[in-house]
Amino acid sequence: MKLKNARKIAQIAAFAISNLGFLSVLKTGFVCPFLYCHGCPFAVFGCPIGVLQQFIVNGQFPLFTIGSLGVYGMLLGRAFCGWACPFGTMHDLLSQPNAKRSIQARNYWYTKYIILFLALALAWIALDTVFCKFCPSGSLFAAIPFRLLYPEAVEFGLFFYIHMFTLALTIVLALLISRFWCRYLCPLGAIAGAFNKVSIVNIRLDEKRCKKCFLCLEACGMKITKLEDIGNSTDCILCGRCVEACPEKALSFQMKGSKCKGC
Amino acid sequence: MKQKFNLNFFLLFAFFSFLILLGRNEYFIIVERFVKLICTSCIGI
Repeated sequence: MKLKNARKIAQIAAFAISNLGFLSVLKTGFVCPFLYCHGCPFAVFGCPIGVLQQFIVNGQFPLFTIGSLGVYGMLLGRAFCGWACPFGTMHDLLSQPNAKRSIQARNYWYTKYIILFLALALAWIALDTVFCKFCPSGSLFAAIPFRLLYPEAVEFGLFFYIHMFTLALTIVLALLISRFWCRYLCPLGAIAGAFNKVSIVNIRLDEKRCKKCFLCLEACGMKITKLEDIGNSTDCILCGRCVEACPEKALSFQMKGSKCKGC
Repeated sequence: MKQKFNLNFFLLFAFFSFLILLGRNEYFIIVERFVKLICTSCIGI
């Protein structure tokens, strides 16, 4: 099976599993490894960023969530962004990396760390889940489905309109810039990206085979600019587009710590 | 394919697993207070 097809199946499966909570007994207390709002009426998992904020508001240290994010990161790094995240899937649908209309915006990789810091700091200062009130993922997967499911029981509040605005803005920017949210704003991507260098599963470059054609970098949805950043940069979502694009088969998914004969 | 044992990786993985174990009660807080009870103010409704 081609990686592209495998990725699509994984993304559909992740979306389906995330929405199995239509029965109360199917709802769990695990945090998901991607940005998916637990405000969704069918949510099975807690959103890690939402849970981190809630615990800060409650004055508790989120051991379980931090441990879970650490384990997810150490196993697969940012692969969840490329293979599972429903909001990332929406970005894939809106903008292909090689599309002519896609703007090759400069790589301000650190902005997502600023957003992460602000999300946690504002929760501590304002004693409220401030980031959740603006999160476009929450708009798409929670606010809209909730409004559709309960059209008469609820009223629109100010933050509903703010949600619609941030979602519309994100969609427009995602049409122009490939994986806009994932590259610049996702606070969970910031956490997961920090584990790329130590994660078990990674992408390895065989330098003997590499002809420096840079087709891998052209295919990259996250617009990574250096060969050595593939699999290591906090931006790499291990989607495997580079692996597919390489005509020399110089890139491959590898388990960290393993040595292959050709490398 | 040879496998190389990485002690640092093992220790870090053990550390995060230990955190999960320490905070295992939070599982019930997350499911009861956050996943089952939808924060309507968060989504503006």
